[in-house]
Amino acid sequence: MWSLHVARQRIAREDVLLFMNAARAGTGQEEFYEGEGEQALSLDFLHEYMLVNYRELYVRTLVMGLNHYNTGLVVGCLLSAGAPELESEREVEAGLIAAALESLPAPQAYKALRRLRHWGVNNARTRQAILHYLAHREDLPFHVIKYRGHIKALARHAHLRFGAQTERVLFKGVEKGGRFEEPIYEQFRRAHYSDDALLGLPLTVAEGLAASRGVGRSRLLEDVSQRGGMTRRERERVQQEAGRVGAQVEVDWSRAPLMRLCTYILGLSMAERRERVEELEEAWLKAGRREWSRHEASFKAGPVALVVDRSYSSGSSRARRNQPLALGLALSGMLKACGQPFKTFWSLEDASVERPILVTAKGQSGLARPLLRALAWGAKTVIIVSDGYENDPPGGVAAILSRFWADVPGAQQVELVHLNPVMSALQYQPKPLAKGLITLGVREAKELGVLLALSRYISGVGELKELRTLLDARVAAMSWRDLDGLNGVSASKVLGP
Amino acid sequence: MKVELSRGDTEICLGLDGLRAAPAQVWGEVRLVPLVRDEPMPELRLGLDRQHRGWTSADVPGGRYYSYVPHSMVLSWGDRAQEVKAAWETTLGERGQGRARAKGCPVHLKHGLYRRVGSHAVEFLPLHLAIEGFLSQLLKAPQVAWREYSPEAVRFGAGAVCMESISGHGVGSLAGALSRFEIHEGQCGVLIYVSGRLATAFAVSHPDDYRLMHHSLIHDAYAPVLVSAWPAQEHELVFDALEWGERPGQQVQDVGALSEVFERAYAVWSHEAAPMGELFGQRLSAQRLYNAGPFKLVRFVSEVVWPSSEAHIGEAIVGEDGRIGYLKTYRLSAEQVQRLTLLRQLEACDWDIKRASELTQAMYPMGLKQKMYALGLGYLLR
Repeated sequence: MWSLHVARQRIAREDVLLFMNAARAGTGQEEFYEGEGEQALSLDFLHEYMLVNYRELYVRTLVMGLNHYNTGLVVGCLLSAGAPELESEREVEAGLIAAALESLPAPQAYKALRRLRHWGVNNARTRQAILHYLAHREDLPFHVIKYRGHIKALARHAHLRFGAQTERVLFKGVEKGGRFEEPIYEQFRRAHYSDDALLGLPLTVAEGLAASRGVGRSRLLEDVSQRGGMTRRERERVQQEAGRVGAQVEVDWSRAPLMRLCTYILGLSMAERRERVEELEEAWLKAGRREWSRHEASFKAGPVALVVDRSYSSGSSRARRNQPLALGLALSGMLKACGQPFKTFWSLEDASVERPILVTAKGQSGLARPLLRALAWGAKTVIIVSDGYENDPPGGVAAILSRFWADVPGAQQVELVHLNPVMSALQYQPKPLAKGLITLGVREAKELGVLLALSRYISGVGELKELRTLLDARVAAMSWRDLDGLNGVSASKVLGP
Repeated sequence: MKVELSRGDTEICLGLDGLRAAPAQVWGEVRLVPLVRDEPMPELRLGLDRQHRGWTSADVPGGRYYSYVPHSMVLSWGDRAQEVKAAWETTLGERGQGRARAKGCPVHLKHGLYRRVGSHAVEFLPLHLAIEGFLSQLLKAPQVAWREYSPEAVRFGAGAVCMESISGHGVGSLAGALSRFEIHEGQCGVLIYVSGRLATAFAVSHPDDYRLMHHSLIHDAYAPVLVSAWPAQEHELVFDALEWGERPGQQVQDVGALSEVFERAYAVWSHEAAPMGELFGQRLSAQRLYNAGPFKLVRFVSEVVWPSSEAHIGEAIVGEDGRIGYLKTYRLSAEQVQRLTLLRQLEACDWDIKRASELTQAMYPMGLKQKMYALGLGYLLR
């Protein structure tokens, strides 16, 4: 029986590895070495598998930093299954679902909930989740205007009840029936025939109306700096465009999240990066410090080395431009603040090594030499960031590690982990570099702490209860104002004015 | 790269001076080995012209040559060798004129497969030079009317020979490989291996020229034998032998020693990883086509050494010191090679079948005549 227990444990570790990799990096977009459409099938299967076999752990993956797409999938899968049997589990699940929906950007949350309609799922928990989410929107009229398509669909699905004005906006049409009392509804109504009113609306809503009414784009962007109601991403997207029509949009890059900043930096041309090098470097370091203070990782021992693959393939595809390289840059910035001796080893050493924000995706995928240099430097924790495709030489890391573990004394004290920003749809997990080296898919730099804990569990160095302790701490730390989870809203609540 | 031209300019031997093989990249069954020049050859420039692509017929010394031509190449040399612009102001041939025009061939080249287009420039059809040279060798007919030959064969010869190729689009993962892998700094050429076999070697003189021509490799002709290999699998030569770097009795005790072992093993591996013995270092029978200033445009067929069935045809532009400025090869299938070998053997014996049968008894256990039928040369026999 003991051997069965051990075997089950081992299978559980492998399953967790499989799922965490898939759920971290898979998004359905195209990768450098894959194509679209191959990824969607594998993710759905994995979620169902985890839900059926490891439901408790599956629920807690919501605090392990899954990406938006997979968070929505987890919420959808949990809602479409029945409620768990244990009362305590039900509470935890309800709280996590509510918190997860809250953490998603609004469009993603709506898409996740609409997916349930697509699946034909309409149980009490689903309706309650939809009602709960909408009831807790701070500015529901704003959402009604901006996401009216989504809200309409959800309203029909969950049999929601709205106030008279909101119902008019959603279902009856704004043009007939006179003025509204709610200011934003009134603005929306007037924008159908007045250009001034158009300028006061949130940008995405205004875009649609402007297109149907034939109002020019430059007119729309005239006063765009005054315009409120833009999310950060919309602001960034408009920034470059507004520059062409001469309008000014302020985006404060010194306060941007680390990954967004790194993607932005890598998207700039080299000339522009050189011109703004101090500003960008300061923003990068500041973002790194901020990220570290919020998401500290615990290292078993320093010094810490980061080996980054900056080869041509780390520029990835059109849909995910520069994403793997941005991750390397973000980790490099974040770990500078980690308090241990830290150094980055790039696959190609050139002038940009001194100022990492000048790095580009160039060169061959050679990880063997940087790894050797990192080990020679005396690192006790080595984090390798690579898409798994190594060609200079292929299998170099595997050859080196097998000899390192076999012959070099003190090799067992060095903690090694491979983080892969790219998922392979064919194998349900990112392309590994070497047997014996744990490969984890990764999306954002802030996940480093969780990933290190995960890798210790999976490699057998740590036990499940250590991982559970970490996860329970994260669950408890989630601030959620409504302690009743999904139950705080009565089913007959009327939403909106 | 270096070429030794013997006195009669009928034999050359290719070498790889000046070009360095960089780490290979593998995509599917295609492996690309980049060739990098440390010093480009500025006195020789090459460019592609896709203006007159299409089905083409050309008057060549042996008769007429028909083929699909994806692009022509312009070579410019000397001090005033400029970058060849894509839209070159020449016409390859008058469209639709002349009674020699064949049905379905909109372009007809009266001048043959190459011609001068300026004081220091030549335009030619890349790869077709080599293919035409090879096919014209297959047109060999018996010069002596031995009894075994049919009278038509003696009088008229073979009539027509043809060869099938596929474009790069049909070679499995080639499109993916060409679009995915970056072009190195100073890369002037590439060796393309399909399923572990050398499909083509391509090299030019200047990295800027190569950069423009890299993607045109997808339009070139490749031997159908490359895609008939089954199963198509990744042919990656994985580095898994650190032992190559070890000295006997050496213990790897720390990371420093491990690094040394790795570097030595890497040096050995990178030499092994691009085996080019099939083409380079071998004797090739060549024909000089054109003198472009100090450069010679040649085409060659590799000698077939029994029992290997490896053969390549190609063309090259060779400088005075033997350096290669341009190289393009095409791999032949075993059958084509055997056909050529057999015809050469017959020729060497003055077309005497009896004498040839005795000499080649070991090579063709089924008998020379049976072999001729098997290879499709039966039209020569009565």
